[in-house]
Amino acid sequence: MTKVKKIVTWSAFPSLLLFIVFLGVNAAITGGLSTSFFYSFFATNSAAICVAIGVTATILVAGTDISLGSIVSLVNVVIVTLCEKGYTVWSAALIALACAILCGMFNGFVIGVLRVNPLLTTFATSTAFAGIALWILPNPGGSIDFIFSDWYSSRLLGIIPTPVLLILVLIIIWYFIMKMPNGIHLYALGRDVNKAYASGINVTAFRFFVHTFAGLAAGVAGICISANTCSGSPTIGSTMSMNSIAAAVIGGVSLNGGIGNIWGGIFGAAFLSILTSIVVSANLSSILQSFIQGLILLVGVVFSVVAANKEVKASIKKLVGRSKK
Amino acid sequence: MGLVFRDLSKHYGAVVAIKKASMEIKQGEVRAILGGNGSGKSTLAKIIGGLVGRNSGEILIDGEPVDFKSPKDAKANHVIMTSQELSLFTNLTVEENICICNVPKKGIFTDRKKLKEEARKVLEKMNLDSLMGTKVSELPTNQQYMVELAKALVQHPKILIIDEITSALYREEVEIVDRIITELKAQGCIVLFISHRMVELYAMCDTVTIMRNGETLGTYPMAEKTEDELLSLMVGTKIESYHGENKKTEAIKRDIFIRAPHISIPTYGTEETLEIGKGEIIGIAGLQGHGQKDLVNALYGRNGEIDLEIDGKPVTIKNAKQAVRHGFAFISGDREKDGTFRERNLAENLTAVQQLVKHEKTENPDDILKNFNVRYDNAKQIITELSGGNQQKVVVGRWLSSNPRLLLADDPTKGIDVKARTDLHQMFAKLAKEGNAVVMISSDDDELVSITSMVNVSRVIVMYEGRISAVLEGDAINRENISAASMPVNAVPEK
Repeated sequence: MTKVKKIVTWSAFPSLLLFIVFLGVNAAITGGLSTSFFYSFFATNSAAICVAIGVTATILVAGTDISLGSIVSLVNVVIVTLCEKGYTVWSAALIALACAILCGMFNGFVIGVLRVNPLLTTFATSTAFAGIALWILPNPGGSIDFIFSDWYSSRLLGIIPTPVLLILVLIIIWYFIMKMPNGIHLYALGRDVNKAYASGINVTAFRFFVHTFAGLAAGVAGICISANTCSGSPTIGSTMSMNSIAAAVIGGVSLNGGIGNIWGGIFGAAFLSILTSIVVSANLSSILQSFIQGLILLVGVVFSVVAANKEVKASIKKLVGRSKK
Repeated sequence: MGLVFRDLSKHYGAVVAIKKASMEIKQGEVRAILGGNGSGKSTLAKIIGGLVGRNSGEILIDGEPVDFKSPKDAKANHVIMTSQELSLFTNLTVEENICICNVPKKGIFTDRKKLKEEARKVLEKMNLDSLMGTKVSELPTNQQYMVELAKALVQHPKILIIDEITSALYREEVEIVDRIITELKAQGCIVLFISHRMVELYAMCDTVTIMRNGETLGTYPMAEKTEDELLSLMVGTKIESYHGENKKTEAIKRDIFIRAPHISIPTYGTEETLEIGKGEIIGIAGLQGHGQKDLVNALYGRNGEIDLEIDGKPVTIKNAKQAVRHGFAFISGDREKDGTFRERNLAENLTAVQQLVKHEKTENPDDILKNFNVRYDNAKQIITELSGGNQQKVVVGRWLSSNPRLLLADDPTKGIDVKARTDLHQMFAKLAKEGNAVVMISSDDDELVSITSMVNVSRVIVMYEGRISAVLEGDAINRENISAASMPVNAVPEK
């Protein structure tokens, strides 16, 4: 009973619910769920999930990062360009990942050490990173060795697909940090910077860390998207920044910081992804598609905000308590 | 030995906060620091706690000069500060908050079990172990202050600075604090105690240092000075506090101003009625959380619709905005939450109600600020640059300059010094004498006794478990009666 209560009042629960409901809707439209659906779902959408994980980390400390989409693009064009230049896919991917981490560290440096507002900083860097991506690869094109795509669609032990594995790596790194005292400190920092400082918490280091982690997440997302498309485009990640923030909000992560967890980002992104695939499979015109998608997104955000309301939560608690008695 | 500081100075721009303050405190001594608003007490505490730097002077601990660059530095030396502005994180649980400065570890990971154990140990000492596992956001202010103290205790303080936390506490909690300080004293801990409640200072402190305008004026053994002598030293002029003289005994005729037949108290699911007279001051007393706040919030329309009768005419108030339109004012002791607009300047803070809600012209902010004796630099200053007491004066200035007809106040003098408190009381009394009314909660019974004696028509209402357990008038208003009514004889004792 307490377990049920715990799950129902979990901050990421509304997004989980939305995801499951829309998964059902999708199944109804396409005529049932299959394992192959899940494999293709993860192959297509793991990039969005990774970016959402990254942005959630920054929002938790009352910051934000809108440059992650540009970092994804940058990673994509770096991989393609290096492959064309004759590098192996693996070294290209690793170099691109390092680039992404460097971009994140740069954000972290400006925000943490120079204490510039995160929104403004990442707005500026997102334009800069996107510019670099365009400079490296002005036009979409190029191709990546299909070994990459094969690796991406392979499964560990025949069950766990590579994209899920990549997401798991991010989750494990995050949990590793959260299990340390740093976890408590990070949430404290998200609630109140001044108090965190007064409590002896190293604010600069945390800011630096979350943006570096976000950079890493965007790097992983870039690898996923490159492996999935096997071609280059300097604008491939441009819509991902805002989508990931919406995903985090749907997942119950408070934009004021200190409330929520990465599962919220994950389920929020998963919900948005399934939403896209439903709208696409409904065969509507592209204009109507984005309109409906936006509308449902709005409903999703409102739903999750209402669900996070204290009073609503209390009444849900009561309801669950009663039905279980 | 102990803690010594010499010629400490600190200024913020042109405003001098501390001027050559010097002090010497022995091990195991509990020292009270007494001074008016802006006398530099809090700044002094912050310097010792490493929160702000000093401009000159030196601090010696056990004969060694120290220079704390950050709170972390100070904590490493077991100098712990609990502050008026709480340091708690409302999104974390009580035990996480208590241990946050020194999270127990197993390897490199957090040792959750040990964290709970440590928190439980200290909470049990304070009879608060029922708070385990609760999020701080769910606690009332007074319990948050207790958690703040618990957080300081787990850090094994050698020097503990308690800045104003007891002013939000109720009697039974103050007793716990008293016991803990006695224990710390026995362990040789130095306690710097900043409070405005004289009773507490006499009960807990050995010595007292008086501060005025950033200077330390002198240190005396607590027992050698009477309350009036201390107040005179602090203010600089002779003061005699009020002890209940000139009280009228004849039955009071009340000219009904507002009738509130149905005031709901949601915390207890009860309902109360209240009639407020013209020119009346109504004090609301009682133990913590017995519905006093609900009563005032309900009158202000914060708990949903309420039907009132103002000057004989029925009026329905649906929200705070309508309440303000009807000439109600609300002053809360919780400045941060209900009082100040933190990122805004003094002028904006002063004129918010009149300009934005009532759409009236406002006076020159400087005039109001001077009227209310605010210590400030200029009206374009951000409000958080002022000391807590001065911030509260700005809030009071905002409301009183809007000429309210009914002033609702929820512990408005929390964390304000005696001089400012007396000023406020006089302003409230003046407002009432002009034919308006004041309804005021206070966690300090003495305060209610003194403010209700300032006008002819007054009552003290004592609440218990969501109901009015006594209405005291005239001579019946005294501490003994209030205490008695707060804890009715046949009532279940507090946990």
